[in-house]
Amino acid sequence: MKRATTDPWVARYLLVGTTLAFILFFLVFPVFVILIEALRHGLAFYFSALTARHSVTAIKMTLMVAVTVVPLNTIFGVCAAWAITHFKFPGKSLLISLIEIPLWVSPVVGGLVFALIFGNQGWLGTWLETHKIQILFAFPGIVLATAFVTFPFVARGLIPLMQAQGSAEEEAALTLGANGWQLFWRVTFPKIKWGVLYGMILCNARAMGEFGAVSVVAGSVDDKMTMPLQIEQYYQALGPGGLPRAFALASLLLLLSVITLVIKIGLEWRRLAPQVINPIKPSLPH
Amino acid sequence: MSVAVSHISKRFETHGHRAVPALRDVSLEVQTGELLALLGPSGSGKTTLLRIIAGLEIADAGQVFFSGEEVTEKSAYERKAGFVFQAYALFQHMTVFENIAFGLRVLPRKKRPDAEAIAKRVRELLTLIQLEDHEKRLPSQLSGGQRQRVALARALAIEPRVLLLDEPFGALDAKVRRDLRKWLRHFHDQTHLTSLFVTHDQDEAFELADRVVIFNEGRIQQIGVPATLRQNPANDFVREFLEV
Amino acid sequence: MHAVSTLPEKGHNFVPMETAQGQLGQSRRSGRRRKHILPGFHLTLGYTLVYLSAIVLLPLLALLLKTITPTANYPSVYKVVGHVIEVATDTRSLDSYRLSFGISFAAALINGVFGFIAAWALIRYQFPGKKFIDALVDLPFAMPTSVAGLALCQIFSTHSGYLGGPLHDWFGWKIAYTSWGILIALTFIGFPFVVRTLQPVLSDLSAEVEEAAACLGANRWQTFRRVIFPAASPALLTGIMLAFGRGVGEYGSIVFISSMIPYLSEITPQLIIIKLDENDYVGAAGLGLVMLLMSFVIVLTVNCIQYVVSRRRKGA
Repeated sequence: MKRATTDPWVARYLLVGTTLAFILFFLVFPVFVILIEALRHGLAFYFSALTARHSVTAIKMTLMVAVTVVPLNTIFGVCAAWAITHFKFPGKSLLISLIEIPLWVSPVVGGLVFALIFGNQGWLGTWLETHKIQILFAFPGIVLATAFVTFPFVARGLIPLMQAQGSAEEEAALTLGANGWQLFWRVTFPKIKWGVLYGMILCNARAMGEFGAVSVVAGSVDDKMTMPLQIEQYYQALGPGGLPRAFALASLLLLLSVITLVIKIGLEWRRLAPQVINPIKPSLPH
Repeated sequence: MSVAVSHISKRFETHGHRAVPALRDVSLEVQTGELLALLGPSGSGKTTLLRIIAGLEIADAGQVFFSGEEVTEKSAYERKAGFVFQAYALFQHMTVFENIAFGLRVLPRKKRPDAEAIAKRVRELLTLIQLEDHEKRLPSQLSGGQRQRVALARALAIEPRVLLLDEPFGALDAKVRRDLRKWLRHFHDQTHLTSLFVTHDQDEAFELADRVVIFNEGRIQQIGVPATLRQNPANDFVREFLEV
Repeated sequence: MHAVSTLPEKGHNFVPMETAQGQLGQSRRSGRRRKHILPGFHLTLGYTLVYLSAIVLLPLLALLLKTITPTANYPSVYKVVGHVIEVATDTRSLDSYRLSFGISFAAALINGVFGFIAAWALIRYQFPGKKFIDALVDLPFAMPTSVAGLALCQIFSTHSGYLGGPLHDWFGWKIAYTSWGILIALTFIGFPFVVRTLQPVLSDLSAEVEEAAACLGANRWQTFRRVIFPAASPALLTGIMLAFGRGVGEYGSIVFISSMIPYLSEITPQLIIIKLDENDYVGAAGLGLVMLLMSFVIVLTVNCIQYVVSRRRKGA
């Protein structure tokens, strides 16, 4: 007998069909296009595209930026989550809101703010010029802009997780004589390590793939481009070699997204990490 | 070791409402080797007092003394008060062995016994709580009563000067509770470790404790040996609470 | 009520309160009480605030200050603010707002429809490969915007695109380098926001409420219209706002698929970059401020929706 809350089969087929069509067309199709285009001219060309000079410098730059930004934001995220979870202090909700700002702000604004400080008309512009320090259009600027846009990821994953876990085990460890570091490494870290990994891979994916903010601070200076910027440069290049090279690099980033997605889903399915970083505010402290 | 608290007061702030007083001007002396019960309805302040003695809460006013030495400003870490939590608070990712060994492993290098000595002590405690074969199990694999015993052993491993138990048998079923009660009384008779425990079950309090402290609304209503409390309740609350 | 203390008969070895007076006095003098039980308060909060200020707060402050600080070109506060307003209200800027906000909003609405359908299908129905499809919803989250933009451009490019070519040949439609291209890109980007916001709400909807409606004689469509949809609409609204906010700020994917012709197909982020290239920092800051304000409005709206919903729930 049909349950009262079962939808008529016509509706079901229609809705499921629409969903599948939309997702396959909109989301999956682009993935295949990248792969096809990347390999269109054969494997040899593919590898030569990846080892071209500009590609190599772009890959190196992207990796260096990620290796710098992700640990910095991770340490921050852990500190912030520890402070917010274990202590009472006024302004906690405000702090959480402030941490989330980069999620709401356009990446271009994220780059703009640093251009306004370090650019040649910026606050520190003339000082930097006289001391011959290069922030914009160089590694430090890219790091800052990338840190801005990936700022909240680790903290956002950890705060609800640690709040759900509570402080009981830490208090028990305290009565048993553990000091701060022992508390953290022996008791807290094992509990949160998957949550930290979760935040780190999201932070990393965004750090490696960030375009808007980095475009503002680095522009098209040769040798100082990350992979996304290099993809654009290849794309804009006149002549036949440009576009396929762009796709080759893009396929690498695509591989990164797939790996990120796989790890993310893996962690969620095993309930090791919070289900999708909910775009709505994380739980405010009660 | 004796414990004393003097004029302890504490208020808790709840969102948007007036602060709720949890303890009002409470003073209490616990003799060395005594087993004292803190009894009262929920919200009466008994757990808060226990946590203040342990160093897990800080009183707004008043002091705490261990054997006459003031420890009010000392952290839980420094007081060496063994605490058994209501929900056990065992380290979920560590085995039974590692849980019990924890307090010994985090001792500063100079005082830390070597691995063999730690293992010996842990196994002694495992024998005491009758869980010798369970040392490699995880807390999630244990029953409630077993977890409670591990929590006890963990607290005892650091050779505390006082043992504090927060509703230790609350979450267990009746038979397990009775067995553990007997065990605790036996243990106390053997070791004479100064102990305080919180409960809302008066049978438990009367059966186990040398003296009972009755709490209500943040104040001590009466302190005494069980017989005295029954015969001479100090006020209406005590009379009704004990159903005398 | 007084506490009656009955001490045991035998003498006790406890030091009486009176002689502890010296210690009492001492503790009063020793200063403030420790405030926190677990260690690391000052360290963690301190580092948090410092890092937050360095990366987020101070830079944003710099942006705000730039819009009101006199410079060589605009020597007085009045002139600086005047220029900011001038840039912010210039026709070119207005056109860019219309494009950015307009298309983002349209994309958000499309996502609202399809996102709702997808969320519904994923929560309520079983079909083969459901888990896989559900995982795919996160793809736009994980994929770099530049990669997405490149792919979409290739698909919809007018002459050689997979779809763009045929569409142009058969219907004369142009997609890449027009507003349609931007629309498609922003739909791609914003899709997960609606789905992921709706899914928890739809799965939480109590089956009993629907059964009650059925018992009262409502058919499925009526139940949906009158019971389910109203309950889910705050989440839907929130999801649409989030997708909108994301779209407004989007730059990476648009770069590839848009021709960026001033007044015609320029989005606001692009305009900010142009202003920076022209060394008009104040103008760029002004536009950045406009975008910040827009983000702020969106956040406020989302919070209001959440607030109204929770108030309504408490009242019921």
